[in-house]
Amino acid sequence: MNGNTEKPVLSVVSNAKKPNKSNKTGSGGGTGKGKNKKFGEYEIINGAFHQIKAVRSSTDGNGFVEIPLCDFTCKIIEEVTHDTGLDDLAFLKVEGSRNDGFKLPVVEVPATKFYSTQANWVNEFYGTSAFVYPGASKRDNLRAAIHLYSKLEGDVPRKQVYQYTGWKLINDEYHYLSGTGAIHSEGLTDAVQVDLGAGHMSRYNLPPPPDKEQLKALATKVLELLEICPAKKQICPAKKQIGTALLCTVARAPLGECQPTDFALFIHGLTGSMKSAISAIPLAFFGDFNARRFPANFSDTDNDLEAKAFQAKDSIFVIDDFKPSVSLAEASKLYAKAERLIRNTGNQAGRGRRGSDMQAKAAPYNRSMTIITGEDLAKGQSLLGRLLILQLSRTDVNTNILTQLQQASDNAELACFMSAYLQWLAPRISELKKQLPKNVTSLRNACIRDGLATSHPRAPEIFANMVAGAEILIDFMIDAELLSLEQSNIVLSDIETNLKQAFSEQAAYQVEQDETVRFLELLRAAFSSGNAHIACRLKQEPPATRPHAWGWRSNEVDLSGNKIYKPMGDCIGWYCDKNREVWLERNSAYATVQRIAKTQGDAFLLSPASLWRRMYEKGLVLAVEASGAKTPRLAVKRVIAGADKRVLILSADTVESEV
Amino acid sequence: MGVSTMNIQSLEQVCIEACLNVGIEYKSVPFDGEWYSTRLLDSHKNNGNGRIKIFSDLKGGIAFNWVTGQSQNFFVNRMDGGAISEQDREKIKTDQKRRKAERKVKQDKVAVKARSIFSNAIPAPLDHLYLLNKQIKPYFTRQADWEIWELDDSDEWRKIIIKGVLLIPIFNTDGIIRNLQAVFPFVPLGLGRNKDFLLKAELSGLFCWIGGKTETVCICEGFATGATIHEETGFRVFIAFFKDNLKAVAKIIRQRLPSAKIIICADNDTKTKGNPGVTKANEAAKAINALVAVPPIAGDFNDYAIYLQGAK
Repeated sequence: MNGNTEKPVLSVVSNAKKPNKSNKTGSGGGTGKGKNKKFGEYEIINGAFHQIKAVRSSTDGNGFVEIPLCDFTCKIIEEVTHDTGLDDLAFLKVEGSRNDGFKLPVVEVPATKFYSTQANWVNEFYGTSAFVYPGASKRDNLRAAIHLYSKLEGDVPRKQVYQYTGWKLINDEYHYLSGTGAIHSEGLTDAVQVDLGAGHMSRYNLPPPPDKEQLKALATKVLELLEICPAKKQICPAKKQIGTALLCTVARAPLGECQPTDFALFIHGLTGSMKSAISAIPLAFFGDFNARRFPANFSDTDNDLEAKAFQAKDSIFVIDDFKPSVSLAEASKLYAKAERLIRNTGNQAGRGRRGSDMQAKAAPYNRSMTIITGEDLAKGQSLLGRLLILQLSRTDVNTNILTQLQQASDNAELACFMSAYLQWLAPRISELKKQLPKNVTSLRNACIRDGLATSHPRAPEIFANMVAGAEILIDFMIDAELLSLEQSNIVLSDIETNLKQAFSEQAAYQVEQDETVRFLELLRAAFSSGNAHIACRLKQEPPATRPHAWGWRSNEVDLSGNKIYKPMGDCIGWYCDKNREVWLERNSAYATVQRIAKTQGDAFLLSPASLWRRMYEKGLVLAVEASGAKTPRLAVKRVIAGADKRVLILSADTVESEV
Repeated sequence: MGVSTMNIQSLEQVCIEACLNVGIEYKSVPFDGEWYSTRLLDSHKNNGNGRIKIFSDLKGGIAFNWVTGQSQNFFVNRMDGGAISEQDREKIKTDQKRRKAERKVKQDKVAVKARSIFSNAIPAPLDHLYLLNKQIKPYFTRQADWEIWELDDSDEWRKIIIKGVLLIPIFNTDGIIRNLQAVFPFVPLGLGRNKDFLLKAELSGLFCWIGGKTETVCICEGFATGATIHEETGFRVFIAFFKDNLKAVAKIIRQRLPSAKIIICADNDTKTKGNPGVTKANEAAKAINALVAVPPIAGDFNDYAIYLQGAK
């Protein structure tokens, strides 16, 4: 140890150097290689970030050591906040160059990764092109150096990017976001940035609204083509309700901000019935879509579907090709996917999730007006209650009109019309947020009062939503002088008539999916296939009348020529001749029905308790036992072969024959 | 020669521009070739760290920022005024000589005052607050009361008496006291600084020193820095008092000690744009072929020594 180490001042003074030609002490001049630039405790030396650390004794004798942090310089050029609708994600746009002049391209680094003490983002984004010296301290210093360097010329510019479509209140004015920018009361502005990601979601693009004359031409086309001239040119001449429903979805979709759209349209039919082609028409009002360019289909993952349906806020969102096939397992998955999506829509709630820190994460849910196409229907009565189902056959679609509509969509004419509608809506959204729910309630109550749309308790609500949407579209057309008052009344009347027709058909779908009906059908199938039988309550013999219908078979006769019947399968109940009643042994009956359903490649999933309760609510249970509780006991005591048993009593006619 | 209004207006404009460039506030000053103080643009205090001088020929002037060391000469558009005539040139020279002579008379008067103050002062006590704070010995310093004239916020002159001021004599090359630096034990309210010189006294090229003759000599800015360097190294240390005086003092020292190893001990003003302490030290060192030593932390060598004390 020399004396200098005990006298650091002497050491520094004794190691005085000739003045440097290049001013390392940092006047801030120079940016390129060979010229050093100092900021804070850092300096760019030979085109790379260095940390300048004060030490008591150093190799350069100046009291400083230069610690290389990496082999490049880079700069944050923009701080971008992505608004996903659930949370804000910050990204930093970084670009730089290596010390040999190699350009490091612009990358978007998640802010959390950039500020992380681990800071592995450099190699994650630049691969082997960039080198960072080892050590946690160096990584942290590199982060600080980039941060300071980026702020030398002032704060880093900030930008907000929206990742969804639909209405957004920006600067106290409603803007409808789409890939091209935002439509507000003044027209289309590109000052608002929207990034809907890759794939067909990026096709949600709206053109600027047309001028008045152009709009008139477009409106005439839209009205003529869709459903306003039913006799000549309606898209589905045999089923006016289809064109009407499609027009209503177009009108209702942008109103999701005012009242959430908690139902979906389900168009089903055989392959070749042009389901996809006609579903693409309303979708084309919102962007560059056709029958081969849908934003989603049923091969997408559950999460992807959910996220995209969340993104397509206040727009039409078509999910194509619901076709459970290939295998039972695959079909079950597809049914489960459809159920999740439709329930998500009906309940306006996504699947709750937790992060790795066990904090609740906001769940995406369907914010769009969804149209599903498929060759099969989703299962479950309550699920179908959330849908307006439209059936299409191969002869339903007028191909001439479809072609005209497709041309109009290819020319973005439909999207232009939508832009005009949205521009008109923009200053009215605040008011409509109060008014539309009132209109829907009023229409729903009228619908219930008039006994319309009775297929499911949700049906009047769906009907009311579609009519309310159509009313607002017609208001727009009147305002824009596209329709006279007289014409508008005719149009609205047609819409209501056609929609009533659509809802009257829903009852059939509901009956098909009624679990009590299905239970009885499966029960009959069990008897006719010889999988179960019902015996006479007294002697356990075949019922006196039509024993074949109750699961008994006869291949032989006795000496007096009478048929000898043998029971088939399990005994699942007893027959009471006196009152023509069937007394079901509930457990055996339920097990048999489940077994039969399984042999059909299906499942009977409603729980026994719910099934008996529903049968009681439908008046199928003939006798109940009063209990202390308000709800009666459905299984009543009866003497069977001398012993008391609790059984469910149904009418023999109900069990034997279909209604 | 008449003075046109147009000339004064354009002079004022270029002066305003120059003041903005060096970061000082413009104020109207007499056209007599003398320095006048003004405040800095980024300071709310009237600490007079800006200087404006307008040449008596009304052709230009200088704006100067004491804190950053930035200075800018400015001139009215010579094309407007035409070429300087021989007669004007003679007049300028005569004026310069006259002003120099007048200034010399004033400075001589102030020098007498400096010697009088210093001789009447008592030796500085070891427990003087400044010396304690800086952890240095008093050496030849003395203590007395100090009066200063300061512009208040309403641009009125006011007299302030500060008690117990540390007096540091400032010598010319003949070893005669020509000025005094007063170091206050505290920063007086509203003044914004703890040091002062005698008003209108000579300053450029003056210095003081600590220590006997050594082969290696150091030059630094402040007294406390010099004391620390001398105590830590044993070298004779010349104190230039302000960074713009380093070069002038360095030249004098080189002239007197042509073969000495001279080390300019810079202040490391990293917190000031352009690090003027190191910049001026480098300039001085380049001018006389000297070496430069810079403390490894922001501040001067006294700060560094105190920092090391704390680190121990």
